[in-house]
Amino acid sequence: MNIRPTQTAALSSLQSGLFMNLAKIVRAQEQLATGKRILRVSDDPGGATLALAYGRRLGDTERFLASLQSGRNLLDSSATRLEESGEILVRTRELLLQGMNGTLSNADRATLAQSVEQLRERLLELANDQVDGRYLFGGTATDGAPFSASTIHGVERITYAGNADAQRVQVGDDSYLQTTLPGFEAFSALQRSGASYAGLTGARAGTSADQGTGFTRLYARHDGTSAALGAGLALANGGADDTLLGTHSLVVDGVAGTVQLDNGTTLSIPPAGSANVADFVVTDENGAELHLDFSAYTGASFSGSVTGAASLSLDGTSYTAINFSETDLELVDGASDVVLHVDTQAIRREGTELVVFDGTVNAFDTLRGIADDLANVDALDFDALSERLNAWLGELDRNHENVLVSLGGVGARAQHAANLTEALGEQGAQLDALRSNLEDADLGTVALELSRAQTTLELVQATSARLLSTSLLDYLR
Amino acid sequence: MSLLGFDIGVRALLTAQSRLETIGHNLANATTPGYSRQSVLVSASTPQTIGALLQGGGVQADAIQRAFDAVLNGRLSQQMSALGRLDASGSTLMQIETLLGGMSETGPAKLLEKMFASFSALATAADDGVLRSSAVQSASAFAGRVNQLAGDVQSLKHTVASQLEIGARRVNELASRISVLNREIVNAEASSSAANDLRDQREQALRELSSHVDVRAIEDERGGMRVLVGGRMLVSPSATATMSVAHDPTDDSVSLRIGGEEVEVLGGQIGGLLSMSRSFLPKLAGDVDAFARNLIYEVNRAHSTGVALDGPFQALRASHALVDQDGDGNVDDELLAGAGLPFEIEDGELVVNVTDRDSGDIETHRIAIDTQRTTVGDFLDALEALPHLSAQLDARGTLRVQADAGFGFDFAKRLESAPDSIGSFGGGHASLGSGDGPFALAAGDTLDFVGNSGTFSVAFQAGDFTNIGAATADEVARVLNADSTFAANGLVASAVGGALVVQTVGVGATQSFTLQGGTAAGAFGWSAGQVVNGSDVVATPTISGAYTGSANGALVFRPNIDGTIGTTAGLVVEVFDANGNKLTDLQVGAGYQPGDELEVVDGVKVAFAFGHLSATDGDVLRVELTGDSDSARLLPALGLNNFFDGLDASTLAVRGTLLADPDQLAASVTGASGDASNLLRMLEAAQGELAALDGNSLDERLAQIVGDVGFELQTTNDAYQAEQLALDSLEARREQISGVNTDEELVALLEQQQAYAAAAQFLRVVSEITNELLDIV
Repeated sequence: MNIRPTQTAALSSLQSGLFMNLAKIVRAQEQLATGKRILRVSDDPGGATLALAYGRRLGDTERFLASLQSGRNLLDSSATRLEESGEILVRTRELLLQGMNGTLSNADRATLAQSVEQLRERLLELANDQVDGRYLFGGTATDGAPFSASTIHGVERITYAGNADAQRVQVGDDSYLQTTLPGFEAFSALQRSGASYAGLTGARAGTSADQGTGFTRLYARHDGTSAALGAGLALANGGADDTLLGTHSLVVDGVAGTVQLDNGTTLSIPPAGSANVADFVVTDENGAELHLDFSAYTGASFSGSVTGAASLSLDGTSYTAINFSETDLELVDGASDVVLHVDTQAIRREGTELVVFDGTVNAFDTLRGIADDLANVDALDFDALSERLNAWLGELDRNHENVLVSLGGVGARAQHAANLTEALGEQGAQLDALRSNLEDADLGTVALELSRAQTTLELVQATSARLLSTSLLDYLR
Repeated sequence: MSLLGFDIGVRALLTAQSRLETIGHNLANATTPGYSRQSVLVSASTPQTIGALLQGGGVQADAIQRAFDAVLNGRLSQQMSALGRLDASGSTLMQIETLLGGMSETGPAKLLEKMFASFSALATAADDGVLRSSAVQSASAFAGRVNQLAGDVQSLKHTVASQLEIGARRVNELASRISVLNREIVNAEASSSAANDLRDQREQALRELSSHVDVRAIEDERGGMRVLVGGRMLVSPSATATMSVAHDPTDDSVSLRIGGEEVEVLGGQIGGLLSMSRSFLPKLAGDVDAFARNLIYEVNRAHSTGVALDGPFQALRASHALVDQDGDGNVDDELLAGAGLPFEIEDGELVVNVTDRDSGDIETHRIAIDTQRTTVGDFLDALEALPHLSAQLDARGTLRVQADAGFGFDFAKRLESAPDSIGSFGGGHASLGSGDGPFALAAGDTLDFVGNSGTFSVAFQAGDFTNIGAATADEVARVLNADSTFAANGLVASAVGGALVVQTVGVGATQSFTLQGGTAAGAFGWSAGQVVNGSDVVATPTISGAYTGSANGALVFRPNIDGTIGTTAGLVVEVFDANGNKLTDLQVGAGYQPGDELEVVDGVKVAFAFGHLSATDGDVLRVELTGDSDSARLLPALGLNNFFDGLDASTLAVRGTLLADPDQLAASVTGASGDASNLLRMLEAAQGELAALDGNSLDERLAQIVGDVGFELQTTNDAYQAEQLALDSLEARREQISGVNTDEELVALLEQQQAYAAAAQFLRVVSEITNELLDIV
């Protein structure tokens, strides 16, 4: 091939050289101005696709971090409330133990009862607390107070109105963080173990299972006394004031001048003319009372049996008569959804029996029960009261345990959330760095490129100016 | 000799003159585009024989010739076509890239990310009005951006079409120019030698034509040129055809025609534009549409089975109409799967939960959908048959579902809270249940009862059953309930799954009836003389937990013996699946505390209240389990409880109801204010890998669309640069051959000037010699 340069060829090669270098300069300037290496996807489709993918991951990470942040707020709020709840239950326990001290007067106990009631109110406040206008412990039912009061048979009870669903937020592609604790887990978890009777009346659990939550009162009513009495004895006031139920043996010893009901304290027969001779109270070992009229007492010995008729009730209004032979008497109360099976054989005295469905009394009702008993609303003697307070101790400890377990769970999740926040933060920084590496211009390199392109351009301009200016005409004369 | 001398001198002068003129012509056209350097071909004239001598006759000019390489010129034309094509594609692609806004903060990809972020934020506080509104708004902004993209792609198609029109007009101009030159060249060359300058012009026109379309040029022996485009004659020596752009309004496609016949143009700017308009833009529009369609379907599928903030729905209207296909004016007879719904439905079920707003009790119903059999009418009837629900089609064929006052409905995956609605499991009614059907009855078989008004008998007839030998519980219950004596005796029959249950209407221990016997008794597993009593205590079972299974199913509970819950030793509730396979035993006898929750299977828990169960009386309880509440995929097809309306990128929009009232966003499954689980499902669906997108997720697909355009553009740009380099080198080669080097011409000028002077001198000498001779004479 012969080489035959022409002026036009030189010009066009010069032109493309100038264009190419100018384009390089423009590109470098664009990169410097925006700080980005990839301005359009086509600048580096591979890099841009990767940068976009990093961007999406980064968007996800930021999304998860935002969720984590709000989740941690909720978890921390839950934790502080649970901590305080735990403290309230500890304080209640102290008050309860104080109340079991026999030297305390009823008035002293009433003061304790007031304190417990205040603690109960605070506990309810905590359990019904809101964060940003949303109830914290209602599960996903955040728009209503989770623990609501209802009065059944004159007793206020707290029931859980929330649901069992925990709120969750997404904190990873396939991982979720539970941000709230459905309140029943902490305050009203159930660990059913059957009904227990405080033992005042002698009523016992029947053979069938029972159904109920919390506690209920079993009312044993004295419906009249029947007795075939001798030695001139009579029932005072027709037996209306008696509290004994079932058949008891009455022994009047004319020689020793004593009277005894079952294994109760042996009492001296009141002398004629004494103030209580017409209404002398004999008590058996369980505190069941028989009112005897000794006014016409002949002084003879007498032994026989006295029987108190009885009926039972769960609500204090509708009563079922018993004959003390039922081993599995079924009592149903629709209002409180209680089905109780009672063994009536050992029922001895009138009274209000506290039946606790063990493991089902929620924290608030436990505190209410403790306050009621400290205030002695059922007017019990100290022994019976002490037994009841002792029974509450079990429920109180169980509730405390539930609060602590819940607190542990919340704390663990909060810790997990904190760790995750840190990990995601690092991941975000890494992704950001990776994306920046791909997408952002390395200013040093770009500046170098720019100056190189500039130098080349100048070189091209200079040489071509020189070359183009030469022509044969310059030398033809 | 003297004449010869003059001849030689004159020819030498003329030849030198011609060469000088050609040099002048070359110098004058040194910068004319397409000009080919010319030169005069000279030769020694034919010698004459004078005596024994063969005397030279001087010089003669034979022809003026172009420095020209036909093969190179052909290649240049091809190169122009290739470059034109890349140029047109590249500039269109550049516009698309800008539209897609790949790296920009307002591109669709970024807006999709923002939508996910706002959904995620709402999940942290599902009842927050501001977050709800921002979730709906961000989705709407994204939808608007996708609409805009679809519109931009559409208008780009129109731009390309009008560019094609302009291109075709230029092609026609060039074709007629070539045609004119053809005639001139043929005329000129018929009379004299090569029409160099006309040919240069024709080649220049052809080269420009090549940058628009890929051409094949054939020159005939007379110098006329035929130009073929895509195998069709554009220019023939005798005629010129016209190129036109045809626009098909049905599918918005364009095609190119020459003389009314369609031609395939691959190269040149027109080729590039055509390929953009025919393949790249439709593919891009298709990709964006497929993306939008999948987004709509997936998000709606999750959303439609959710529940709004204010709980179950009172009324819902579908977005997509059911259409009469056979034109008989009746939609009801169409198959549901073939009634013009925009998305496929499948064989499966639709679960409808009906909630009693007062009690909060949820009853779950299932409607089976068979794509081969279920008609629109069947489906409407099935909806209508659900208690407290009504369904109609309006004039346009869109479905409207409505609940009675005090009731609500939804399609969520929920557990029935009170599954024993009829009290067939330890309930208060006197209740007698059978085993699972079907039951082998024979025509005339009877069931004999003693009810509260005495003994009576119900007979079964073949006409009451699809197949009396395999009677279903539903059919038997229908026959019994239709019997007036049966009803008059205070009895009612129901089907619990496959089992038949006969009960007293009243509850309590005083309720009683006797199955006296009858020929059908055996088929139900009942023995004659069976006395059934009611109870005062109701062993209401309560279901809780969350079903974790993915398939729809049922749990059937039956006691193993007669006994009292929490009391009778060895009392077990046996749990079966819907097909009668035993799953587990629940110990509910002595030691069980009534009310305690027992794990059944797959996250479902059950608690039994105190009460009495009877295996003899066939106590049975069925709990429907919903794994997929819309396995028929019916809701997104109907557009019931949609999140997105629309079918493709141009119609994508957030449902108007949601925009007007963001509380209608179905963030929850339960309707609880803090329940965001459905929102999380929507996020999962929108971010999950989809088989329809080759295993990509929606956001990945969007990035792919952006990336694909980027790759295409980069490839085109790279190819353009490479082809440009090739063109430059071809043109340089052409310049080497055909270009005018002024220095060279100037040297030749000097040479010819001297030749001219020499010839003139020769003539003078010849003239002097001749004069001397004449003086002698």
